[in-house]
Amino acid sequence: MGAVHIRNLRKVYRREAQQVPVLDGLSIDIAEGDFVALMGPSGSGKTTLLNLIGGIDQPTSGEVVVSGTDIGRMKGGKLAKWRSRNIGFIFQLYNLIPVLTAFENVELPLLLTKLSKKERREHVMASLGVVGLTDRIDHYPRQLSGGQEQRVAIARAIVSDPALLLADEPTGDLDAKSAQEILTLLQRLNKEFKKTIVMVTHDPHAAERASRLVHLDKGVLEATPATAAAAR
Amino acid sequence: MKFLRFIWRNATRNKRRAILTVISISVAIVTICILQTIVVAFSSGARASDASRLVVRNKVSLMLPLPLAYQQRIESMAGVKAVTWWDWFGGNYQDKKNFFAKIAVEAESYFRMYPEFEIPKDQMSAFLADRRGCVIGQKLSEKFGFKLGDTVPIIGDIYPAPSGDTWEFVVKAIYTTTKIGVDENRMFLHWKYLDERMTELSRGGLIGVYTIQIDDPSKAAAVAKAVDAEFENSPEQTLTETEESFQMDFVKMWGNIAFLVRVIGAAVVFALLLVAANTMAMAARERTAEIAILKTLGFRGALLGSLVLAESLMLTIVGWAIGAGLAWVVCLGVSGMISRFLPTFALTLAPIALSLVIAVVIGAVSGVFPALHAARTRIVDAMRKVA
Repeated sequence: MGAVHIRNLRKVYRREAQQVPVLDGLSIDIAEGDFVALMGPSGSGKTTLLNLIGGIDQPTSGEVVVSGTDIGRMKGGKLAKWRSRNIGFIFQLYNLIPVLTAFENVELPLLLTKLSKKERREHVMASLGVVGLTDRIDHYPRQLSGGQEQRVAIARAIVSDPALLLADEPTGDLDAKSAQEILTLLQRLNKEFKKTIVMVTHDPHAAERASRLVHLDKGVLEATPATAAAAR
Repeated sequence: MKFLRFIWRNATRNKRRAILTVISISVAIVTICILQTIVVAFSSGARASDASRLVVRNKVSLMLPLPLAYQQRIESMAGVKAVTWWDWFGGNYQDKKNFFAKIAVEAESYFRMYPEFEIPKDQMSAFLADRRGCVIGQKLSEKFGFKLGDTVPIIGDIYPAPSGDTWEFVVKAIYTTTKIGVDENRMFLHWKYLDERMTELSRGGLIGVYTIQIDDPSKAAAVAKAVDAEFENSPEQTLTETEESFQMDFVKMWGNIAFLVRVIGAAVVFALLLVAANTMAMAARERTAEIAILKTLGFRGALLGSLVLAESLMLTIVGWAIGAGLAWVVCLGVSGMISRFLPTFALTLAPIALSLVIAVVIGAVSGVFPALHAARTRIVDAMRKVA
C-alpha cells in the first residue's frame, strides 16, 4: 500500500478569464515504500502535485491512483474519509491547533474514528513516542520550539497509521539542526515503518535524504537522478 | 461528547472576547427575565381569574358604588349560580408605606366562590363568628408578624372608623393558596361590619362590586349583557365583564406595559444578536486556515459546520445560565422592595424558559453563517492564505 500512479495529469487554474496550466500531462509512478523528493522552482507545480496526490484538490484531467484508489473520481465526504485513513500531511508551518496541547493535536485525526478513549490514548502515546515527545504531551504549541512543533505535526500525520506521508517543505521554517532531526525522523519513518513519503523541498540537502529525486519545471517532469541516499 | 473539549477550547480561545460576549448575553438575559417577570406580575390577577366568574361594577366609574338591592335581582337571573359582593376598604396600617390590599367581603358567599383562598375550617368558623374578625394571607402574616388573635389597627381613609381614626380587626384566620398568581398579601374583613358603620352615617346598603358565578362559562357574554340590560334604566347602571377583563383593566391603568416590555425586549434581543453574530463571525474568519487543516485531516464540512454552530450555542448557553442565575438573585432581592406595587413579583420558570429559547435561537442564528463558511471553505483556497 502507499503506491502512487499518475497518468496524463493536468491541472489548470482559472484566474478571472485566463486559464493558467500548472501541471501539463504529467505521469509518474511512486513505488510503495519510496521516499521521493520533489524539487523545482517556485510555481513549477510541486505543491499542486502534492495536493492532488493527497486528495485536497481535484485534477482537471488525468488519473491519480493512490493505494489502488482512483481519487480523481472521489469527492466530498468520501474523499475526506479516504484522506483521514490513507494520508498523513506535514506542513511547512506545522499548522498545529494553538488551543490544543500536543497530545490533543495528535489525537485530532483519531476523533474521526470509532476508537475508545483508551485506544486513542495508546495510539497518541505511540506516535509521540516515535517522534520522541512523550514528555511534552501537555505542552501547547506556543510552549514548544519549531522543531518540536514539527515533530508533533509528524506524530499527528502518522497517528492513524497512513501508508503515504505528504510533506510540504517540512524543514522550510526550521534551523539547520532541527531540520536535520526532522529529516532523520522522516528517513526512519520510511525505512523502519515502511511509509511511502513524498516531500516537496527547495533544499538540496534535504532532497539528498530521499531515495529518489524528481524535478518539476513548468508542470513537466525532468530527469530524475538517483540521490546519495538511494546510493547508500 | 468527544468534541466537547475541542468546542470549549475554541469558544474560549480569545478569552477577553469570550468573556465580554458572555457578559453581554448574561446582561441581556437578566433584562429579558426581569421584564418578563414584571409583565407576569402585572397580569397575575388576570391569570388567577376564573372563567366562570363575572364582575359587575358601576358603569360610570369603579370608584362609585352599587346598591345592595341589586343582589337579589342578579341572583334570580338565568345562568347565574351565585352572587357575592365586596368593596375596596382602603386604609393604612401604621403608615402609607405599609401598603396591602384590604377588602371588605360578604364573607360566606365570597369564600365559597373563591376556593383558591385556602382557610382551615376552624379558623373560618372563628372568622365568621366575629364581625371584627379578619382573614390575612400567609405572606402578610410573615411580613408584619401578625398572628391569630392579634389586633390589627387600620387607619381609615375612605371609610371613617367607628371611634377615633382607627379600625381594629382581629386576625381570625390565615389563608394560603396553591393557585399561581393569587396574592397572599391581602386582608379580608366583614362587609357587614363596614356596612353597620356606614348605616350609622346614613351611607349604608352600598357595595363596591358584585362577583357573579355563572353556570356555563361559554355563556359569559350573554349573561353579562343580560345583567347590564336589567339595570339599564336604573339610577346606577352596571358594567359587567369577565373577571379576567376586570383585572386587565387595572393593568391598563399603568399603560400598555406588555407592549412596552415587548419593544424593549425586542431591542435587547436584536442587540444581543449583533454581539453574538459579530463574535462568531470574527472567530470563524480568524480560523479559516485551521478549518482547512482540519479538512485536510479528514474532517468533513458538515462536522466542522456543526462544531462552529455548537461553539456559538455554547457561548450563548453559558451566558444564559449566568444570566438566569443573576436574574433569580436580582428578582429575589427586588421583590421585597416592590411588593407594594407588585405583590406577586417573583421569577418563575416561564421567563427562564423563554430566555433559554431566545439564547438558543440567537446562538443558532449567529452561528449559522460562520458554520456555513466553515463547511464550504475549500482547502486549497484557505491554504493559500496560510502560505
